[in-house]
Amino acid sequence: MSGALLEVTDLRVDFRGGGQVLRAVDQLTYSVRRGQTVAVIGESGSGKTVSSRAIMGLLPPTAKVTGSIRFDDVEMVGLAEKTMRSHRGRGVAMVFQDPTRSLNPTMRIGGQIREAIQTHEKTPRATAHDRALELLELVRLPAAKERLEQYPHQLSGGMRQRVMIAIALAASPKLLIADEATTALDVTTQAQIMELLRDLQQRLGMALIMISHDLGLAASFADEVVVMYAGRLENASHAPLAAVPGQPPNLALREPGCPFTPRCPSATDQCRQHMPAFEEHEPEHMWACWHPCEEGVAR
Amino acid sequence: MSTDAPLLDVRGLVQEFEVRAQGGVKSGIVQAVSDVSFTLAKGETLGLVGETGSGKSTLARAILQAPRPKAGEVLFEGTDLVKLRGRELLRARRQMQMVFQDPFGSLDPKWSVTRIVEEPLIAFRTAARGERRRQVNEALDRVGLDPARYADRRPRSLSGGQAQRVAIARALALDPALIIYDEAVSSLDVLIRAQVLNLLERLRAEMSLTYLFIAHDLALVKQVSDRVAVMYLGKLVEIGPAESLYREPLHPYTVALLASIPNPDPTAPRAPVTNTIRGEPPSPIDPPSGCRFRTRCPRAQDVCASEEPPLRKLADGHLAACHFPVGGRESNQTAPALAGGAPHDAAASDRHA
Amino acid sequence: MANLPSDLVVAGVAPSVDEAAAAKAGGRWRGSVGVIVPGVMVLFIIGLCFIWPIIGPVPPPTGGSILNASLPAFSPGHFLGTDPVGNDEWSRILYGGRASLEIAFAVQGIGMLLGGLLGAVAAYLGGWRDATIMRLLDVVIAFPAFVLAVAIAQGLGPSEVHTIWALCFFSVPAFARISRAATLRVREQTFITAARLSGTRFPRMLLGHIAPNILPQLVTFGLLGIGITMILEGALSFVGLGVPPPAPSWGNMIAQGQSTLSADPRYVLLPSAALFITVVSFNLLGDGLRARWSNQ
Repeated sequence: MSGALLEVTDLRVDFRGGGQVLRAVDQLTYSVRRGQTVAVIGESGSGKTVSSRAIMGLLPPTAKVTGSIRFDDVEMVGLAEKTMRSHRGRGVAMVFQDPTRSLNPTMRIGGQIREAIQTHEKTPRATAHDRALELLELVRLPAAKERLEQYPHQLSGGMRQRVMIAIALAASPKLLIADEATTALDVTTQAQIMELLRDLQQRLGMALIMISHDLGLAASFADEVVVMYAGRLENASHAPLAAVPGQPPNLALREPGCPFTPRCPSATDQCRQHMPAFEEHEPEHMWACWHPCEEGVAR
Repeated sequence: MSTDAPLLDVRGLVQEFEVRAQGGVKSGIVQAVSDVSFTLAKGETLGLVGETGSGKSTLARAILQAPRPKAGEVLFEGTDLVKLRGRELLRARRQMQMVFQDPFGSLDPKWSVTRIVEEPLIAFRTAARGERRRQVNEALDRVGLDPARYADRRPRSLSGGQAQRVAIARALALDPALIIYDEAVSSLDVLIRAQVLNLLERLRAEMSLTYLFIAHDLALVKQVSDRVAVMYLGKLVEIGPAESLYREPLHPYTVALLASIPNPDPTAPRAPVTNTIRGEPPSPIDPPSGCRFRTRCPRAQDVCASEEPPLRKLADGHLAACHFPVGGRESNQTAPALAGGAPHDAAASDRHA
Repeated sequence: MANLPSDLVVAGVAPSVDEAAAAKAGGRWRGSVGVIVPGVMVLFIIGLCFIWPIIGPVPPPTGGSILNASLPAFSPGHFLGTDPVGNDEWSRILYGGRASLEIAFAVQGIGMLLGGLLGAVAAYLGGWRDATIMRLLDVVIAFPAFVLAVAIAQGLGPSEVHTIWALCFFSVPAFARISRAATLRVREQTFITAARLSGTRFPRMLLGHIAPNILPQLVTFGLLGIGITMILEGALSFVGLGVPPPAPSWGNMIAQGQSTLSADPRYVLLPSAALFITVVSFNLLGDGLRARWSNQ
């Protein structure tokens, strides 16, 4: 799969602490082509956020990352922080879930965008100001000129998220990661922001990874869907999930077999003892299961 | 639905809050709920949908008199709750309970599960200790929590779904007639959510309960409700049978909400949401004159700014407050056509919800 | 969450871990060094000052003979020597500690109960009741407490009990503020609304819901205040209030010792060192408990 913008291969993220090792991400493999939208979905604790933080190099020092993350043909795993910093924002940018906590409440909007611009390139203040205005218009923020002088608390949630997107786009990244970027928003605002993202993608030729727990949202906007469970890749394609009994597993106490066994209607002893491999069973459709469903129904 | 008097009859409910600037100076009044009226029949589930600032949570609390609304009547089995005080209000409270959004926030972190569920029984002095404990265990059993394993646990050793079940058990303890769910499943994981919804449905049938189900997720509300009411900026803009509301929404805001539901079917046409609603929500302190939705409505005309549209019947059991509704008996009103057409089939989305 | 690194939890990245599993892994008491060490120190000091003089060979702190005046340290029978009037210095340290600690515990205790109650009631009821209570407390704070202390000393005469009343002027409003702020925070929680809807009335609300949830903050504030109170007691001794000599307290020992500071600094240094160690121990305990309780 050469020519892909992002190639994640066998990514593994372990956290050490309190005498335990917690494997948050296990053998994750997927790729994103230029201009493509890939959705990574899963419940909380599935490892979707940890894996995206790994791509950005934003994990705490207690995390041990192994495997490969190749972005634009450059290996990201093991990169020095200094190199990582220049790669962040310019190659890959991220939009987080809660814009209220990601924006500095004591700094004007214009200042925060300018800061993002000037971090990557020495730009005179006037030029940066113009570019900031350009970015706000790009994200369709109404009354952009006035907004530059305002503080975050004067904007609504949807507007703040547009500002976050503008900041993320400041250095023209090739890949944008939206980590539950619309989860905290109202449903109509969510739809508006998603349409904005799709529009920006087409205009800027940007790839998008959207991380969500909302399968419906992912399926309606993504070209490809990656489903994670307990840190592992379980399914990649469009597929519905029905109500499932039980609780998400404890990642610190792993069993040797498939982690979904306690909640799976098709589970057998084989499932409990042996981890199924993630393979392409049908064209463009991969899964990791000993007893996959037929016609959307468990056997 | 039964032809008896409704269990709950809300008339002209008004709730307002003062907004204070720094130093406690009054700077405005938020009209959180403005002249809302509706009825709730015994045994039905009414879904109440709205986004942030719609006033749906405030409405719920106003019904429960926590705090008392500024104006209007809340007739519960014929008695106006707004007029009740002290002991009488306390007695009325037995019949209505609420389950909140944050499963952990609604449980005292220092109390055990048993004590939490027992609290309403103690407050109303319904029975002696032994009998109370029995009732607590029965309530826990009902919500699927084994008393032997959960009775002495603290909230911090429960998962979100389990904590919410404890909250539901507490709500059931006094055998109420009405339970209000205020975004009660919104913070639960999708798979847990489905489990809890199944539980709620089972309880409704077993205990002849009536539900008011508040949520911002339309697809979710459709799954559980017989009728659905839509609120926008303190006003009730549409109310009708769930099926009818989703198939043929009357109010442009409802159309926008439905268009915002992500459709997982990859082959379905993607109608742009920006054709159904534009701009940002206005300030609740200074809402638009006339129809409050007009600043974002693609169908708005001059009359929308000068005259507030009344809630009127446009189809069977289906009411909307709009001068230019989409569909219904008076749909031949002249208005700009709503681009994007009718919303996609929402029935497909609840298979996946 | 007991045994996952806190930065993971803060980053929102770690999933929740069942507490049973956490307890099994034995991580529960790991973070408690910060509580156990100062806790042991505090217990040791309390034991030394309250229990040891009763059961051990400690001579009385007063009534010494002038013939034994100003004996140096490690003299036979007086391992810290004697004071200028012949009293055993070690005994004076122990009994002095008892007096200072008694005053500190009483002041903090009354503060926590009375101030805590006033603040919680004010915050819970709100409105004019809140305003009235807090304005009354403001008057108390604004009152020049030292002037009051001197007035009491002159008018009623100095004694341990009078010292406690004077110091309560500081502690009660302080606790009331802490309690009020904590109660306001708790009052906003949904479980309070839920309790009200369950029919719970004011007394049970206060005792069952508010009190247990603000107690950690009051206790840590109280522990941190022990040190301040003891030092204040010393300050009052300079002004004439405080424990009246010849009965010792660390405060009045320091006050008395200043006259012989250049000749024999021991009379100031010893009670100062004792005060220092005690204040640090209580402060560390207060900090440790606060850290432990806010992690839960």
